[in-house]
Amino acid sequence: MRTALILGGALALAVPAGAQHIDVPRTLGPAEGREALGRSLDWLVTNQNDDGSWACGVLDGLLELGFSIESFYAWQVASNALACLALLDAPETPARRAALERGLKWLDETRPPKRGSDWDIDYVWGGLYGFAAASEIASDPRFQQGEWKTLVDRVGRRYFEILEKNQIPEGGWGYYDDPIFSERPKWATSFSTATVLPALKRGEELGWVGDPKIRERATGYVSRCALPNGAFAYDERVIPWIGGDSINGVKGSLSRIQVCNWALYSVGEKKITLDRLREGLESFFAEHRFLDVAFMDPVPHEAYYYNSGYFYLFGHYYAARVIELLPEAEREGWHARLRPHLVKVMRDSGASTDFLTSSYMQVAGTAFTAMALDLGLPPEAQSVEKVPAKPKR
Amino acid sequence: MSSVRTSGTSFSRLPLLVMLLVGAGCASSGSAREGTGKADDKEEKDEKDEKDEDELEQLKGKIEVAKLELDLARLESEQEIDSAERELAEARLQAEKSRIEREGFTALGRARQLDEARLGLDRSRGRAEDAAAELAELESMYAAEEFATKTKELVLTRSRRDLEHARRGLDLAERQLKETEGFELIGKERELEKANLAGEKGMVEAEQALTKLRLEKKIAISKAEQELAELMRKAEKAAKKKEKKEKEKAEKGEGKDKGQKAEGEKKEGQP
Repeated sequence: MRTALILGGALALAVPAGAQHIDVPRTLGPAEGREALGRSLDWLVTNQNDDGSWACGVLDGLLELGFSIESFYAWQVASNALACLALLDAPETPARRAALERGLKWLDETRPPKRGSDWDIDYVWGGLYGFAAASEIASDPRFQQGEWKTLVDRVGRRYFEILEKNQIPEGGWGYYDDPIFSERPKWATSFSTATVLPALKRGEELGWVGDPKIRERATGYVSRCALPNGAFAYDERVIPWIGGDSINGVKGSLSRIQVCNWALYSVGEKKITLDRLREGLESFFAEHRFLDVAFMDPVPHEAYYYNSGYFYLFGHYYAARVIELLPEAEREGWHARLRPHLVKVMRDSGASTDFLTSSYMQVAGTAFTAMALDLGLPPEAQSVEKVPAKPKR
Repeated sequence: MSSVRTSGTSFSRLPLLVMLLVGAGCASSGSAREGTGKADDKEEKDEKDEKDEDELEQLKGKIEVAKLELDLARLESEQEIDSAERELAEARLQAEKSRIEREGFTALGRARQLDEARLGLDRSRGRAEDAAAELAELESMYAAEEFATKTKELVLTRSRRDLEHARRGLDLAERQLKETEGFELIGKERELEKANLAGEKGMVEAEQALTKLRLEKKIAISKAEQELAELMRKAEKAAKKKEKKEKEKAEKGEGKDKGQKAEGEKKEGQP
């Protein structure tokens, strides 16, 4: 991978981006992005289980002891939804199409995850990404007819049930509950809620979400987390914790800024302007070293400004989605800056992970990477297998 | 609560005796001025009477003090015996406690302490194995990691240190078990045996002390009673002596009065 980076760097402006661990070219072009995307997608296709799933639904390492047993299954479901999205976005090949269809069938056939314990409601991640994936798949013409339409409709409605059940009174979604534990949890975060805002809007169009107030409350929750400095609070507080080494500063909010800006802009929140999107992206690159330092730290929130390793690929994916909201002429410049940070952390196998090497983390990380890279690539004129190119989202 | 008391029957006459002594004093005060003999004899007699009178007064005072001392002796006896009885009860409890502790340790505590040390060793062994497994997982996680070199170094260093601490903890637990098996349990057993013996000894000593104290207090009260009785006997004797004297005086005075009367009658018949 280092060789690829050095070659890529020779083509780009070879200025180190201030990374903590490795010299990275400042930009990478679409060709390098496409090459990296191919490796990510290959990994996903190659590492799919026989039953169509990815990863395993049980604890597969010592570093995540302590969560409820169900949470590992919920994370598997969420990572499978992301893998399906990555293949949905990918330039189609028979192998990728087959993997996508098998993955969708598994997502339909597998049981929906359940609440793991009184405090651990990580199954919400299954709901968030299961629903987000279904809403995007439903927008793809390849899955808008016949059995596929029925299947996608079923998946969307099923995972929406989890969301409906777990939306907190203030409108957001979280993944833990606090004492006194209640059937409807009481804690949410800005970033987890933001992941489904556009999907909720699409869900209303599809008839999966009957009450638009669900989206309105969720939008209100994320919107109230927006801070004057351009950052987004981790969660909604009457008095947000700011200043010092708070996670709510821009340096601790680099990835949340992207997902929240993308979500609010996508649902038409007026205060999120194109300039605000640009400012968020600029901060993302200017302060990127804080994400680099946290990368692969197995202890959550241990790094400066309480950054966690798992903010990294999540944030890069949503940064790519923010870029796609900007005028077309601007996009490649931003994508070119984003690509090195995705490519530099890819493993030789083609997998990406930013926190642990648990199977679901590798699937989710690789899917985020693939989607982020894919968003920045122009459609291929014709694939090697002569399959018609799919329309871009 | 028990106390030592001597018989009180000898003191039943005490109020009567005191009244007698007081009455005798009063009676004698009027007759002392009377004299019939020669001047010197009279003076000598008056002095003797006065001395007797003083002795009686002193005896009265001594009796009052002896009565108080008797009360004090009884009170002290009650209090000290009560205290000694409590000490004995405490000594019995302590002896019982020591015995139970000794028996409890032999029947249960010894095995529990040994099992605790063994569990501590097993736990430490488990922690060391977990730390080794965690390090292996982290090493595997970072094996294919080219970017996060600094994080890798920090995390692996920390994990290796954790493993080293866990291994040292295991070594300590092994030594702790040996110490428990070889010394601590034996030492504790001896300590409890010693405490048991001390408890029994304490109880016997407290019993003996109580018996001794009861006897001492009985003697003290008896002495006080005897002293009072002696004083009262003396006072009674003195009072009787005085009474007798006064009686004699009175009889003499009556004879003299009769002679004077006859002489006066004779003088009245003279022309």
